[in-house]
Order: sequence, then C-alpha cells, then structure tokens
Amino acid sequence: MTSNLLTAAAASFGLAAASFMAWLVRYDERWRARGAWATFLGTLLLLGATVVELLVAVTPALPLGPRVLLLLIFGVCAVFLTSRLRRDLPLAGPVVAPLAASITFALAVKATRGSLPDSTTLMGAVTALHIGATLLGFLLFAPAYVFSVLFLDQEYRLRTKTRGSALLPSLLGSEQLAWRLVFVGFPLYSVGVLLGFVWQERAGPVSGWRPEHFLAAVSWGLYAYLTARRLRTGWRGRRAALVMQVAFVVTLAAVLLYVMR
Amino acid sequence: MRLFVFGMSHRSAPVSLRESFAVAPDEMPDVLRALVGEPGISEAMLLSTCNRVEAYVVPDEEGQAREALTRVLGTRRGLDLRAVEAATYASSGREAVHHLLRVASSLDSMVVGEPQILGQVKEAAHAARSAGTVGPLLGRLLDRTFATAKSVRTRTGIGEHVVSIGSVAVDLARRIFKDLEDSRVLLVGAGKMGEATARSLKSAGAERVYVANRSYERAVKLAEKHGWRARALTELEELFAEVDIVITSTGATRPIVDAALVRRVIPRRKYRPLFIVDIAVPRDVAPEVGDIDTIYLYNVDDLEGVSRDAMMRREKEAAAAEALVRDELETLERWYTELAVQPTLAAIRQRAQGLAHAEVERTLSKRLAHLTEADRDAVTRMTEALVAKLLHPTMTALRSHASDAAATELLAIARLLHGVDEDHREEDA
Repeated sequence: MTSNLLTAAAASFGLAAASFMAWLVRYDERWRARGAWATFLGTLLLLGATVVELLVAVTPALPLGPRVLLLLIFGVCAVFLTSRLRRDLPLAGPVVAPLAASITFALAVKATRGSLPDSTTLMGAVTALHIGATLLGFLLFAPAYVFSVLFLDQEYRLRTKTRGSALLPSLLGSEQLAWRLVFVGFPLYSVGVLLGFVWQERAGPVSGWRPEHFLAAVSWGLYAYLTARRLRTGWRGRRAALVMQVAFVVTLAAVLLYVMR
Repeated sequence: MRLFVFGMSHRSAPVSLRESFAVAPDEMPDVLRALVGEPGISEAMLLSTCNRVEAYVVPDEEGQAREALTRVLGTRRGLDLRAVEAATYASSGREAVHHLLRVASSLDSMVVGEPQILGQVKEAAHAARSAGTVGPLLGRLLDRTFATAKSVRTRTGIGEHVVSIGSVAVDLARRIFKDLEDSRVLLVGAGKMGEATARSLKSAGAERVYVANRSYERAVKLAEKHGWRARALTELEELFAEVDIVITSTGATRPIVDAALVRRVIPRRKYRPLFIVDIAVPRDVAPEVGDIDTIYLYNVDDLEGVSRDAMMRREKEAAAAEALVRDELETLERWYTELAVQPTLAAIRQRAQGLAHAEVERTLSKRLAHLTEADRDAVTRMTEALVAKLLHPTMTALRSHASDAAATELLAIARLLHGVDEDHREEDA
C-alpha cells in the first residue's frame, strides 16, 4: 500500500516538476498552475502514505530514517501549498516539486524492495574511494544547485521586471559560483561513478542492476553534457540552470537510494 | 483659462501605442503649423518625449480643438486616434494649466523629480516659438511654467537623490553583472536621455563606453566630449557581440535591432548576458528580443516599475512641490481673470490722463506760460501722479473683484462713472 502511494506521489511530483520546468522555459502561467495542481495531488498521496505508514500499517514498509524523511518531505510540501494561499513565491514550486519527486521516488523504491544485503565491504579501498568521491562530488553539487536556484530567482525577477532583493546575489555572480562548483564536483563525481561501475562489474552477480546505478549514470550524463557544452560553446543562462537542477535532483535520488539500501 | 491639452503618456498608454504617435523633431514645425491652421486653434505646442506625446493648444472652442487634434495627430501616420480613445486624455482650462505645471515640474514623470523633462518642455516651447505657433497666452503660460518648475526644484527636495533612468539602469545592471568594472557599454543614438544613462553607467564603473550614431560626426563629437569611443552604426552586430550593456535612444521610426541580429551574436558572445535599455520612443529594439535567453530587455515602461520604490520615498517632497504648483496655478488664474478687465482699466486710465494732460497744456500755455521747462515738467508729472492716485482705489477694486459674480456689473458702473464709451464692453468680453 505504502509503496503504491509513494510511487503515485513520485509520479505526480515528477509531473509537477516537469510543469514547473516548462513554466520556467516559457513563462507561461498555465504551466505553473498545472505544476501547483500536480504538487497538490502528490502531497495528498504523500499524506495517504504517511497515514498508512505511521498509523495504519502493522508492519511499516519503511525503517525509521526513511519514515522521518517521509514526514519531512510531506511537511515541506504542506508548507509550500499553505504558503501559496497567503503569499505567492514563484520559485518555490520549481524548487519543492523536483526535490519532492526525487525523495519520494527514493522512498517508493525503498518501500518496494525493502533492505538489501550490505555489500559495501566487498572491495575495500575501491568502495571507500567510490563512496568518498561520489559524496564529495554530491556535496559540491548541492551548493551549485542552491546557486542555480538563486540564479533562476534573479532571472525571473529581471525577466518579469519585478523588484530585486538586496539579499540576492547578481545573476552572473550566482551563475559563476554554480559553474565553478560543478567544474570541481564533476571530476570527483566521475571518479566516484566510474569506481562504482568497476565495483559493480567485479561484484557482478552479487549486486545486480539497481535503480541508483541507472540514476547515477543519468545524472553523470547530465553533468557531462553541461560541462562539455559549457566548455565548448560557453553555454549558460536559464536553460543551463534548469539542466543543472534536473541533474542535481537525479543525483539526490541516486544518493538517497544508495544511503537507504 | 483658454488652454486645452490632449495626448497620451506612460500613465495612459503602453510604449507600443505611444511610439505610433510620437512626433520626431524634424516633423514638429509642420505638425505645429498644421494645428494652428485648423479652425478654432490659435496657439499650439507639442511635447513628444519617450514618456508622453501631448499637444497644448489655445482653442476658440474646446470640442472643435479636440476634433482638430485628433485629425491632425492621427492622420499623420494613417492612424485613427478615436480607436484608441481609452489610451488618450484631454483636459481644458484650469486642469490643463495644472497638468502643464505638473509635467514641467517633473511631478507627472515616470521617475518623479527627474531633471530632463524641464529641458524637454523648454525644447518643445522653443520649437513652437520657432514655428510661430506661440502667442501671448501660451507664451505667458510657458514663462510662468518654467519659473514654477525652477522654483519646485530649488525650494523642495524633489530633485535630491533623484532616481533617474540612469540610476535605475545602473541598479538593474548590478543585478545582472557582479560589478560593472569589466562591463562595456554601447550607446546607440546621441539622444540626451541615452547620454545621461551612459554617463551614469560610466560613473558606476563601466570600463568603456562606445557611441554609435547614424551621423558618425555627431557620435565623434559626443564621444570626444566624454572621453568615449565613437563607432559606426554599420558595426552594430560586431558591437553587440562585444558589449555587456546597450542603451538605445535613436529617433528611428522602426526598430533597428531585431531578434535575428541578437540571436546571431549570442554564440559569439558565448552566452554572456546582454542588458538592453531601450529608452527610445518609437522603440529601437523589437520586443521579441526580450524573450531570448540571456538577453534582458527593458523599455521606458519597464523602468517605471523598478523606480516606483524611489517614487514613494519622495512622496513628502512631491507634496510640497504640488503645493507650490497649486499656488502658481492660483496666481495664473488671477492673472488670467485680470486679463479680462485690462481693456476697461486701460480705457479709464487713458481717458483720465488724457483729460489731465489737456487741462495742464491749456493752463501752461496761458496762465503759466512764464514757467521754465523744468517747472512745466514738474507740473505735468504732479498731475499724472495725482490722476494715478485718484484712480488707484478704482483700479484695485476692479482687479480684486474681477473673478466675482458681480464683476460685469462693476465694470459697467466703472465705465459709466468714468465716461468710458461702450466700445470697451466688447473688448472686455
């Protein structure tokens, strides 16, 4: 039951994230409204999953840590939706929905497959390097994601000719910081992902194919695309920031799945 | 007061509409002459800036004037002003004078307190005077308008901490670029607003300013004045690839920058953001340019929203300025009302002085013929002074009651008592 509700919620948040992204590309308010409705639906499903998991289920599908995460993401979505009734924060939706999609997807996978046998001790140093480099890369991508959100906020204000905020860094400032972090984080993340595939190749039948591996490959592909296009043509701007956001939430899902295995 | 204003401004119409009715400086004399050539309009002035297109006329009859203005201004470009009536405004008499005073005093400006508008009204007045369309009434109103605007600037703080288009542009540029030290500015056109904006960006730290103008000589002249660099307008695409901020303020009637040009330069710019401030009316940059990623296009209307905060901060000063404008409006109204009694006053004075002179001449030629020239002058001056003093209460009473309901009756009594003939009744009317 929980896994079904979480899967439906993840799909709904995914739809919301796509709608918000479409809005940020075209600034067509209809996409923003669709995003808000999809977020509302996702939050309802998340509420259902939370009720089932905490109050109804005799044997909860999620261990304590993921359950706390479930409560947390439900709280964030609920706050987002109620705050929309009082004050419109345009960039809140495009931040909340992808993060909710990422976390809910990880929780749905966790609820479906249960706990996996610990295999991280199999390769010793390679595993340590794999985990260390991936996490370090991820830790650099996280602030890059924050700067890309700030970039999009400033860009939205400039594009819609609304007042600026003294707290917001300049468009170019936040963009440059985001890119620098990606430039440093990407080689580390590449090493981490590569070692992960080496590890999987050697471990073979022990680990098998898992969603986190697929997500890691996708996120690496997205960061590779970003870095290559940036270095080759100097590509940047709103669309580049959106790709950076997608890359981060995919990475987040992969990391969460790995941590919750 | 016989003044009629008709037009559209940033308050009533978007720039896309205003630009259709803008009057270029070289068109001004013809349009002005066409206006005074219309029946019912005796004096005219046109004010065409990036924020407003207004016609000030002295009409014989208000309805006729409006019809004539709609016809002359609308038919210039084959447009029907009646179709966009909601975007226009008109007022007459006291309201029209009040509007003129507020406009020149920068109280109706997009950026309240900005100094350029007074210069623009002066230029409009100069153009109208050169075209011979300013008569005694509009001339006097304009003189008082300039004095009021000057008084507003010197006696209130409205001009202090002014958020000009230049400073708004600097604020916006800082929201895009980390700092302006490495930024290059391109000024397209040699308009005064553009020049002021470029100066603001330069003083905020912009590394270099280029000037490109249709007339290269004018670009060179402007560039030399400020230590900038002149470039040919044919290099526009090259320059767009190079600079970070573009200010356009040409008098072109069609956009000189289109989306295709901007799209071509984006890869050459390596997707560096480009901030474009289009303060020209009609606009120099096609509106689609603003939809392109990494391009930030602001026109004069867009700048209004950004400057609204500063406008609120200056509300107190604006209130003081409004009071000054109202005082001046009262003074002008008194002057205009007194204008109606002037013929009677002049006739009474003329008759009394004429009689006195005749009596003095008769006496001096007979009984006082022995007097020296100096003594004769003294007697003449004494008589003139005596007449003036005797008439003073009458003159003051007529002036001070000129706006009263009983003014007509009072004038008739004065004419009767002073033996002024009926011809002056018509002049008064």
